[in-house]
Amino acid sequence: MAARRLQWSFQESKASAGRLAALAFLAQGTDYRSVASLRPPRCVSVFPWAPPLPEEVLMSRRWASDLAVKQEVIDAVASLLLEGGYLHADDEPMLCICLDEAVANAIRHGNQQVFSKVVEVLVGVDQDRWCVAVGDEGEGFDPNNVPDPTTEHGLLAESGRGIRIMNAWLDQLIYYREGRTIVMARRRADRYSPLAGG
Amino acid sequence: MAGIDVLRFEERDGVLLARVVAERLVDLPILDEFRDQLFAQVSARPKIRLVLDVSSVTYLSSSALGKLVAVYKKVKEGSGTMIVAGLKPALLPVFKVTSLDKVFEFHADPTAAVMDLQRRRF
Repeated sequence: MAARRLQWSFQESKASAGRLAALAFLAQGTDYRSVASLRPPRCVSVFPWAPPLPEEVLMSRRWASDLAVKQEVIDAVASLLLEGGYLHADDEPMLCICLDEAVANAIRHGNQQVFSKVVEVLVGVDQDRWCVAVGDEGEGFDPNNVPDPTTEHGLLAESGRGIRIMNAWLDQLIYYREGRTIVMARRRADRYSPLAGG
Repeated sequence: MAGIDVLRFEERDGVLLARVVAERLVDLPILDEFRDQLFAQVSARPKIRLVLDVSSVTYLSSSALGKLVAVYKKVKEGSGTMIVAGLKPALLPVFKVTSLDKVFEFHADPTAAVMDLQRRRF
């Protein structure tokens, strides 16, 4: 039953070639080399369907909704991207921060820490980017309703900065399935020159 | 909470140096302990001069930023001063994109930050 519920998994995107093509178009529209590491945050996008498959899937795994395994998930993804040369070592802290936000949100807010619900993590690479998708079995949410933490009111708030941080560092941050799947993508370290791209 | 080693405190001629010993400020039990220990120190010292040494921290979550803000507000309530010292350059973007670089006072070197606060007149 649980396995059937996980049909959001990237199989779904195979079902419709047209839909996949449209989503792939949306996911590939960034000139990565022109994007600086730190730039003004953009709008966070939300799409109803499953994300498009990356060209090469490096890992697809499921974990129980237990915060005790969060670090294991982060370490697995980070080591995969580092060892593959897709990520600069200098970028590891920011990757870990983004993964921590995504995985913790999936376990805590998405699956409400119900152990039997799973968090599915997919890591893949395209020609120019790596991407990590994290999906949960929760109710979903609208990330655009999260208050801006940089306003006068939000500046001294004690929560609500996770999406802002992720959106600033990543080249793409897209939510699917009404917020139940987050896809994080950034240019591959082996495909751009820091001197040329910043 | 007993058993979680998060902070070490050292009094240096009117300035409290709080060293974060955890490498990762991410998990809620650690963060709650972090906040509670600092709250206790701030509550016990009106007009506290506090240097928070984060040089051991390799990464921190947005929840950790929330706890830092909570401590900052507590310090300000008591008319105190707080410096975040030793932040790794790789973590500075986290503060910049959230505009917290405009809230906190930073110093590269914790010892120099202590000396800085010792010199200031309050």
